[in-house]
Amino acid sequence: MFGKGASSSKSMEIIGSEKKFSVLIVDDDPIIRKIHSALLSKFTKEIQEVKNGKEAVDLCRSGASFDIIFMDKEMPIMNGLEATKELRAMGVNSTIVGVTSCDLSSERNDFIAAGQNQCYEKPLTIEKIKSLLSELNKNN
Amino acid sequence: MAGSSLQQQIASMRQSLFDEGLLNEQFIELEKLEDASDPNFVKNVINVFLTDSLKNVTGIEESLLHLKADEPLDITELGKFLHRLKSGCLGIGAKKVPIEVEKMLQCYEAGDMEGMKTILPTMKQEYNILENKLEAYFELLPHIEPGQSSDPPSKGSTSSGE
Repeated sequence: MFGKGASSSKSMEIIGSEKKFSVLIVDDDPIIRKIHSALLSKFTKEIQEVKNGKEAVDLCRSGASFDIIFMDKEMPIMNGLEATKELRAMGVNSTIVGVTSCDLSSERNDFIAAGQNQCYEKPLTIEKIKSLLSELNKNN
Repeated sequence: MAGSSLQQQIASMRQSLFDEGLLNEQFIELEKLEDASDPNFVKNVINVFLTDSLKNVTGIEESLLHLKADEPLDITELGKFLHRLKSGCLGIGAKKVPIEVEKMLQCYEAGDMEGMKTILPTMKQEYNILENKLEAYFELLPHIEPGQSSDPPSKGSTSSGE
């Protein structure tokens, strides 16, 4: 399930029972950005959003780093697969989670081949995020 | 008593969104995200959806029917509109609209423009029904007076409708 790039460049700090981690939401859909931001705010306050893969690449190139990047697939300018390849080529080893509105069974191989660690169908839910965090904590 | 009647009307409208197969459980997930720090979260999301999806539906129609005769058909733009519309629909828990959009996307992938044109009227009809129902429901919600619960009596109940 978790291939290359599984370990985050920033270790997840656990302070008491509160886990601190940073996320980047990459999606051209403002509705999805709003929903996923609200969902993830139940788990962390360190959330940033960008509208396409190029903005994500530029942000990471400027020095920003994230524990988890939620990457939409279909986006203008630079799609999620292209952005993932670019980020991995840059040496970004954040956990990258693909998010797609397409059928996951036909998309999964593309996601993993591009360098993503995991993928989900839209929209994310509390249960999917809990499952993801549980996996990450196990691996860390 | 007027407040109670209004609450019942809102509850009934909300239930009808599920009973008529317009929304699925994802809408309930959105409602769960609403809290004291963001009490208008669902309304705000729906407002963004209605604005964005209208642009996408219009864009799909203009592209397919080539309404802008002085501009060539931009097939990439058409695909962008379709994906964005489907994405937004999935986000709010719309049920019928993304089914039609998915059919159009399959035609799009196959290069079947005529197929997309055939599905377009149904997709628009389903979108218009959803849009009208959502607008009517959220128009009523702010009229709950302070002290009254905005939770309808049967909140959390849905039709399986599958």
